[in-house]
Amino acid sequence: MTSPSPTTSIDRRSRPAGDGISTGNGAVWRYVVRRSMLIGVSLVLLSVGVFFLMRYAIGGDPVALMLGREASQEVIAARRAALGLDRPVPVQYASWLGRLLRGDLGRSFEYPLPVIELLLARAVPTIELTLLATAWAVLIAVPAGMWAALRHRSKVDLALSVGTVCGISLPSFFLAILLIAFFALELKWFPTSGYVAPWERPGENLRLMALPTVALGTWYASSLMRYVRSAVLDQLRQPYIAVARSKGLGPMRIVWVHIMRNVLIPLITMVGMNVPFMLGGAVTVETVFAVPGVGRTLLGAILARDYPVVQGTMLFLAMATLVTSLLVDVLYAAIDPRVSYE
Amino acid sequence: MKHLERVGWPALVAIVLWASGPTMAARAADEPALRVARGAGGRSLDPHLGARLEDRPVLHVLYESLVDVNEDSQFTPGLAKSWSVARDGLSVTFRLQPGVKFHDGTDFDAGAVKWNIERVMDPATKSEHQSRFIEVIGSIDVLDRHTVRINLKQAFPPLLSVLIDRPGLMVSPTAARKFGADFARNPVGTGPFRFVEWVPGNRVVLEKFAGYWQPGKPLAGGMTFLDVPEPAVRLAKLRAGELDLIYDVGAKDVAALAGEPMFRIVESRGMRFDSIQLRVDAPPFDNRALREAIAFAIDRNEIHRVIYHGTGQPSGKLFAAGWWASPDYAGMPYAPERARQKLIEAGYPNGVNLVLHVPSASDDLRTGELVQAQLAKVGIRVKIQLVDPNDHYVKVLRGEIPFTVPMRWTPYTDPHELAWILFHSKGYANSSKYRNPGADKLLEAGLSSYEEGARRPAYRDAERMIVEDASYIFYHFTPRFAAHRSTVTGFQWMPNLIPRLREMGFQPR
Repeated sequence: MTSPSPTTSIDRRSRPAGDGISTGNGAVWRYVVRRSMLIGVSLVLLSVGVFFLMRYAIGGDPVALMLGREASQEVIAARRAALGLDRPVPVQYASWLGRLLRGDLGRSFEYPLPVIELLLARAVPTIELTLLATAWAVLIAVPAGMWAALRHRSKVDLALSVGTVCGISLPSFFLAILLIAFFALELKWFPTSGYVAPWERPGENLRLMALPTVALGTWYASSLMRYVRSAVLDQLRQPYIAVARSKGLGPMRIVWVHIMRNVLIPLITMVGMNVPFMLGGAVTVETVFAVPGVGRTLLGAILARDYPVVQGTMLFLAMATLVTSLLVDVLYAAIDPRVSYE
Repeated sequence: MKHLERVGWPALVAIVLWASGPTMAARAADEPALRVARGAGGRSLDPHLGARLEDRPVLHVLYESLVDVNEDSQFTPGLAKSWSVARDGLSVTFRLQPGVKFHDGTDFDAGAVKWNIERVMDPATKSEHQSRFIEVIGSIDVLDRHTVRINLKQAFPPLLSVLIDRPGLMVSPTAARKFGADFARNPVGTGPFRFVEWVPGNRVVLEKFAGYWQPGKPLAGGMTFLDVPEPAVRLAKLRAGELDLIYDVGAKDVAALAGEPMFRIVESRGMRFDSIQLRVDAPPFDNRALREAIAFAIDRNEIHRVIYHGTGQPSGKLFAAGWWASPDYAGMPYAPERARQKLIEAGYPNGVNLVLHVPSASDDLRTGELVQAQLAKVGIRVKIQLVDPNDHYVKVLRGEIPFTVPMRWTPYTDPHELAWILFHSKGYANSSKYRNPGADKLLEAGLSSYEEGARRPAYRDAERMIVEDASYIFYHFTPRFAAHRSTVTGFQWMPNLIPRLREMGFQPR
C-alpha cells in the first residue's frame, strides 16, 4: 500500500528540508554517535549543576534529617564524616564522578539500598505509567481531533472544544481524587490505589494502573486534541486535497491515508518532547495513587536532602529526555523523506 | 514488526484474560493476613539504625524487647520473665524466657542480649540511639544462659522506658552479622511475625512465625503494610474494603467515620503535647514578662475547637493530666487582661512586633494564623514567616528560629526522658536554650529513686517551674486515632503513641 508522499506541498510544521535524499544508514549512525557524545557532555554539566545546587542553594542538613530527633551532636558529626560530607564539595564531586564512571551511583542516605537498585525498582512504574498515559492521550486525541476538524463549527466541535478546556484546566491531583471517589468508591470498578509489578500479577497491575493513566493522560489528551484539530483543518485547506478529490478518492481514504500521514509526523515530535512534562505530572499522580515511581522518589529525596538519590534520579530523567529526543529525530528521518542527517 | 505481532497478540490476549480473573492471590494460611496502610515514610527495618516513625509499628511485630508495657504505662514481662533492681540501684538483672528462638533459628539467650545492647553502644554501628545507652549503661554481664545483668553508670529509673523503644528491640546476632549493611532490609527478630518481603515505597509483607514462643499467638495469618502517602486515599481504601486498619486518621475524619457501624475508631490514651517555642537566651525572648504575656494571651479552648475539631484536650501544661508525674497541676490559664499587664511590665506599653516561624503544612499554617490573631488582641503584632516542614526541627535545634509554632513532642513512658532532653541544661534537644539551675536540680532528683511516689514531688515542682518560665508555651494535648473495620480485633496504642498490632486478629465468623 503505497501512496505518493506529498512532496509538492510545503508542510510548515516539518523541519527544514535536507537535500531530499536519505543517504543510507552510515549518515544516520554518524549522526547518532555525534549526538550521543553531546548527551554525555550535557549529563556531566547537569550533574555538576545538581551537585552544587543541592548543597549550596537548597541547603538543609541531610544527616540531621536522616537521624531524626534522637541523635546527639556527636552521633551526627560522626555520621557526617562517615558519609564524606565534611570534605570540600569539589572533592566530594570528584569522588562521586569517579565512582559513577565505574558504574557505582553510591548508596541512598535514607534507604538501606544502593541508588541503582532503588532507581531500577522505581523506574518501572513510572515508565509504565508514562507509556500508558501517552497511549491513552493519543488514542483519545487523534480520533477526537479528527472528528472535531471534519465537523468544523458544529455542535460536536463545540462540545469537544469545551471538553478540552476542562481537561486542560483540571489539575491532575484533583482529577485523581475525583476518579477515586467515582470509579473506585462508588462504582467499585477499580482499586483505589497501589501498585504491583506487571510480572507479578499482570491483571492486577492493569486494574491498578487504569485510574492513574487517565489522571495523568487526560490533560495531555486535551492539549494534543487541540493540536490535531488545527493540524487537520490546516491540511484540509491544502491544494492536494482538492487534487485527491478530483481524482475520485473517497473521503475516508483522503483523511486516513493522506491527511493522517502529514499530521502524524509532527505529532511524533510532540509526543517525544512531552516525556519530561509527563514525568513532572507523575509526581502528583504517583503520590495520590501510591505508585512507587521515580517522580515521588525524586520529590522525597529532595525534601530529605538524599543527595545520592537526587543525583542518580536527575541523571536518569535527563538521560530519558535526551535519548527520547534523539530517538524522535532518528524516527523522523525514517518516516519523512525530506529529512536526512548529513 | 511482523515478528513482533506474532509474539505480541497472544500475550495481549493472555493479559486481558488474566485481568478478568481473580485479583487477590490469597496466602495459604488458616487466618487471613491483616492489611494495614501507613504513610510513605518507611525507611529501615533495623530498629537500631535509620528506622522512622512509619517503621515503628512494623518493628514492634518483627522484634521484641526484654520488657513490655501496657496502655496504662505499667511494665509487663516481655522476653524477660522477671527483673529486679539491685539494692544500690546501680544494676538491673533480667531472667529471660527459656526456649525463645529468632526467626532464623538462632537461640535468644543472655549472650544475644549482651550482643544487642553492645551493638547499639558501639560507635562503629553509628546508631542514632547510641547516646541513650552510653550515657547510662556501663557494662552487661552474662550471669548464665538465661540471666543477664545491666550495670548502670548511676541509678537510672527510666531504663525500662528506654528498653521498650527501638534501641531495646532484640535483633538476631547471626543475621545482623551475615547481612551487614543490608540487615535493614532482611530483618530477623523474635516477634510473632517474620519477614517475607519489602518493596521500598510500596509494601512490607510479613507472615505468621510458626515458631513463636507464646502458644496460640499470633492470631492473624500475616501482615501487609501498604505505603499510601495521601491521608485521604488511606481513608478511601479503608472505605472501599481494601484495608483492615489505618492509624493516622485526622481529627476531621474521626467524626465522619464515627457514625459508621462498619468501622471502629480507637483513640490513644497517651497524648502528644503541642506548643509554641521561644529561644530564651537572646532578646527579645530573654524578657520573661514578654514570654508570660504570650502565654496568657493564648486561648487554648479556641485552638481546641478550630484546629483539633474538639478532639484531645486544651491544656497549658507539660505532663498530660492524670499522669502520675503531676496529676493535679492546671498549667497556664488564658488571661488576656494579665497578658496586657505583662506586656506593659515587659516594657512594651504600645505593643510589640514579632516574627513567628511556621512550617508550611496546611494545619500548621492554620495554627500559626490563629495564634497570630489571638496575640493581636493583646497588642502583640506577629508577622508569619514560612519554613520548609522538613527543615523546621533542624533549624529550631540550631537556634535559627527563635519563635515558632507548633513544636510537638510525643511522651515516653517515663516523665524523665522528655523533661530532661528538652529542659535540662545538658539536654541534647534543649532548643529553647532553657537554663534554670533549680529545674536542673529537680530533674536530677527525679532519678534518685525507683519508686513513682518518691519521684513525684520532683517532677511536680519541675513541671510548674518549666511551665511558668514559659520557654515552651503549651496549648494542647493531642491523641492519635486509628480506624479499623469492625471485623478485626486487638488494636492497641502503646503509651508512646506507637500503634501495637501484635494482638490483632479477626472476629470469628
